[in-house]
Amino acid sequence: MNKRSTFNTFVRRRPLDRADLLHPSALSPHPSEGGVALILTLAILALVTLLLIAFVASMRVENAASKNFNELIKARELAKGAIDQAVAQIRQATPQRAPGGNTYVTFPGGAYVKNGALAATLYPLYSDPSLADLTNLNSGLWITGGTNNSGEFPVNNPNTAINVGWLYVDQSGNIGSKTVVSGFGKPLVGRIAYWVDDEASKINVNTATVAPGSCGDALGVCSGSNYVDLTMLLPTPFANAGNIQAGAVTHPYTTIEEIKRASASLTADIFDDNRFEVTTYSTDGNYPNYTDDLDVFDRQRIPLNPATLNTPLNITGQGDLTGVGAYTRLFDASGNLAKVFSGTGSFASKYTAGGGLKQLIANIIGYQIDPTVTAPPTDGAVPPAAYLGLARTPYINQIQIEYDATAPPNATVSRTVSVVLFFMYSGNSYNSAGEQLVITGLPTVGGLFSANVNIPVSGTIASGAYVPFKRIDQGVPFTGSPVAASGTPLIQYTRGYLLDYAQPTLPQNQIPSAGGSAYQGCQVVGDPAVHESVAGEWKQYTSSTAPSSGYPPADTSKIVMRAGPMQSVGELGFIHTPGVAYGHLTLQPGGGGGQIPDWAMLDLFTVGAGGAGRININSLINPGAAEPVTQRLVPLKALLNSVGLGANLATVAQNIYTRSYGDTYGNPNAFDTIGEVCQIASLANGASTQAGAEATIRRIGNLITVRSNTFTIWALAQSIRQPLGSTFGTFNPPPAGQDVITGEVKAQAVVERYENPPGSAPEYRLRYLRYLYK
Amino acid sequence: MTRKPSARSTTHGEPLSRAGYTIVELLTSMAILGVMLAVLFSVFDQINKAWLQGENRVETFTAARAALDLMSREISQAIATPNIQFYGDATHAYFVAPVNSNSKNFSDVCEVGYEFDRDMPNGSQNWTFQLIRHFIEPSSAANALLIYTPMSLGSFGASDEPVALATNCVLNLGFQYGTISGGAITYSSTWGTPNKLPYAIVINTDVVDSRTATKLRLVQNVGNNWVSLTNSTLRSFSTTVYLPIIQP
Repeated sequence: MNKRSTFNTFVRRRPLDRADLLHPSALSPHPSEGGVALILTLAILALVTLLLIAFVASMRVENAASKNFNELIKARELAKGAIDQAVAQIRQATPQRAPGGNTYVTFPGGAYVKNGALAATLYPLYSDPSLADLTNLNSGLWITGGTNNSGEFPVNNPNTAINVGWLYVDQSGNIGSKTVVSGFGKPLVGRIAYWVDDEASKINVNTATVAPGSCGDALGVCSGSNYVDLTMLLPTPFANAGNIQAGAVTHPYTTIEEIKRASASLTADIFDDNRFEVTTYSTDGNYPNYTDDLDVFDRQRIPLNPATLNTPLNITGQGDLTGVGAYTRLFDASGNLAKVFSGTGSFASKYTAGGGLKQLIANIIGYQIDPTVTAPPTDGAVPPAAYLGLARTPYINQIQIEYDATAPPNATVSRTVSVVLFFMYSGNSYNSAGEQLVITGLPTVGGLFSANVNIPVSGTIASGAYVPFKRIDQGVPFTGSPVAASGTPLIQYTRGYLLDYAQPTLPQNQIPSAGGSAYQGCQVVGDPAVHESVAGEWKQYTSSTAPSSGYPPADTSKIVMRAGPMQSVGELGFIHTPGVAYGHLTLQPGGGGGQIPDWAMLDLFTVGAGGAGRININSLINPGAAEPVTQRLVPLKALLNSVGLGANLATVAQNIYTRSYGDTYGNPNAFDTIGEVCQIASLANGASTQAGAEATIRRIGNLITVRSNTFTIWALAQSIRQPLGSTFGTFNPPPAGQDVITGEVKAQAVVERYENPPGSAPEYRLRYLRYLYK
Repeated sequence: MTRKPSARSTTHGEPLSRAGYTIVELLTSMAILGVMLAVLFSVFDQINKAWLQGENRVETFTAARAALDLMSREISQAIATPNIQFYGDATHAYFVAPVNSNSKNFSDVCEVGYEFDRDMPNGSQNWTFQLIRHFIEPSSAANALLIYTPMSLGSFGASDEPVALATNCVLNLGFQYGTISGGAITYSSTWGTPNKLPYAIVINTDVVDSRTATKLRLVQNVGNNWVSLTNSTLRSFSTTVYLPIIQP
């Protein structure tokens, strides 16, 4: 039955007659009753429909809200996943180090890992470097800052791109590039991108201070990371440097944005200029106390202080089976350190003469001991010690012994012993009151003279002064002939013991023969600081008793004694090299001379505590899959300021940044150790003396590192919905496809690598997490 | 519905074309109508209850989701240093986190606190239930330094605000603080090392819909009427937040 037939049955049940037409309810009552039912039915239906519609609408809204919320949560979890992915990448790029095994260096956006003798391998620290499916992370995360308010190029260049690749995540948890994930054919749930910055390549606002021109003690040495100069922030000179420093003293900054509280004049725009250059947390040491300072192979660096070095373990290597002692580290029988550079041997093969490495260590001790301390460094042997360090005493510059005989018949003979003392340590003087020179083993000339002679000395011997002392014994009757028939001199000068323990003893030398009535002999020491056994140490003096113009050599700038704890590993340049007259460790370009360069030693030693605030000289930005357009020069300038580089400051900073070497050692694309910075062109500042040229490395030697323990991860995550009909696994947004991005979360995390205890397998922890909104 | 023609006639002998109703018919029809209306009312009542139940449920979940999401998101960004404390007890959590999105401010880190406030203000007969978010935004250098001041409970100020989406709906808030040792997490109701962060924080909360909350506000003695009023609608929610800084 259709609707019309039903209606007919209901309304037009029979034909209308006249009575029907006359009745007031001619067209009713039946239709009216049916109408009520209809209205009621329709009303109920309408009500139910309305309820249904409202309910459905409500459910749709709630459903959409739930889905949106879910997508946001999904995006947030993806962002966490991006951070985890970055941590995994960092973990691969910073393996546990060990001698002969792995070592690594880090830089913004990457790391180099070196395994044994193999060439260093680049580990990019950002997502998907190889594909063209890129996103400019800098445009969404303002990593390098905002507008270029300071006018300093190229920092904060708004055109800066950090192009990294998208990694896609599908429903089954597969993660990879577009190509990889599309192969699984599963619906996509999102995509992620990230870039890893290196915190140690920035200025730590909690440790840096206002230090323009204030760096350096009497020796031009700067001790700690507090000499990284805040005034080099932008615009330079940075007006709020003092305020930042004061703020850090009151309450150390937790996040870099907090430097804005240092002063009302440090506006958000100025902060933006500098946000790429500063950090609040940077370490290159080990957890937990950051006093561990590690060398290229993860071994604790040897503290240079005498208390640590002055042990049998360090000087002789006795009992050192673990490689922790200075001697063993320098000896490095397997040449591990040299392998990092170029396979040019070890220090053991470089320094063999004059007591070799043991004397070198003794010299480091002697450099630091107090002038009032007279006890020599011990090497565990019974006194006298075999390896004597330098002492802050006058040295014999020349010694002359002369016998003069008058003619018979009343012949007499005179003996004159002349000694010229030289005090070479700049900035000091020596009070010689009460001292005396004792010369022994002199010829007695048939018993006419004593074999020993004492020469009193007195007065203050100033720095750089040559002070003569003399004793004359004359008028002794003499009856014999001064010359034996055989021609062998009767008078033979044998040896002399000098003032202090660090002085060399004289070798047995023949007095030159002389004719007539006079016998004279004279010896001038080439370098009084060297050990006695060096062949050719003493050089014959032939002209006069006055100090020769040739001795000492013109550059005496490195004849310096600290007489206290070293303040920088750069002071190793002041250490005398055993076996080389007037030779010192050289911290300059080309310092190797075909062997392992001296500056490699900088990585073996330390002074004081390592840790926060050191600047990673591997600071070249690895931006991702594009050429670098951003440079991080400000921290390097802050590092170098106050060395007196003048106009060269920017040049040297640029040379370090781009690794413009004088000579290339090891990996040409990264600094393998801190010493390699000595190879940088123009770092030696053109001074006329060696010490002057090494002023920069003495200043920065303690302030730099080549690897960071802290990293900032910038992550971008988008959740994706692929409706039915999409090509699962392949992101295809409108207009060509239907896939939609349903949520986006940006996050910033600071991750720290640590070893607890030191030397154990590295672990990683999140120190800071922030979701970003802008 | 159709009706048979009546057998009664008019006084003119003509059959009535529209007859009246007997009392039985009326009663019958009224009874039927009553039953129908009763059925309809019952149906509508059920629909209404189901509707409200659904609405309440959605609202409860929405409020819980909003509250827990906000709290967990902010707590997950918490920081503790030798200078910055994390305070936690069974019913309060105070911390510092970089949750400020206004780059013009003096810092991105803010002081945040969460607590549940059940109170009957003076002069009022109504209870208030509020999940309070304590918030110091470093809009000035002075405010920026407040985050380094050890936090004191109960010092709520003008910057404190109820969590908007969860206003009045949250009836309880509790925290547990977890430490990890040997891979096992142990929870306690207070956090005793303020310069370190817990490994994890469990947030427990009881949430009702706003209608129930409104009724609760009006009762004189919340304690005695709690169960009866909330029995059907109160739901408990819990989430665990793992914090970023792990102290080994």
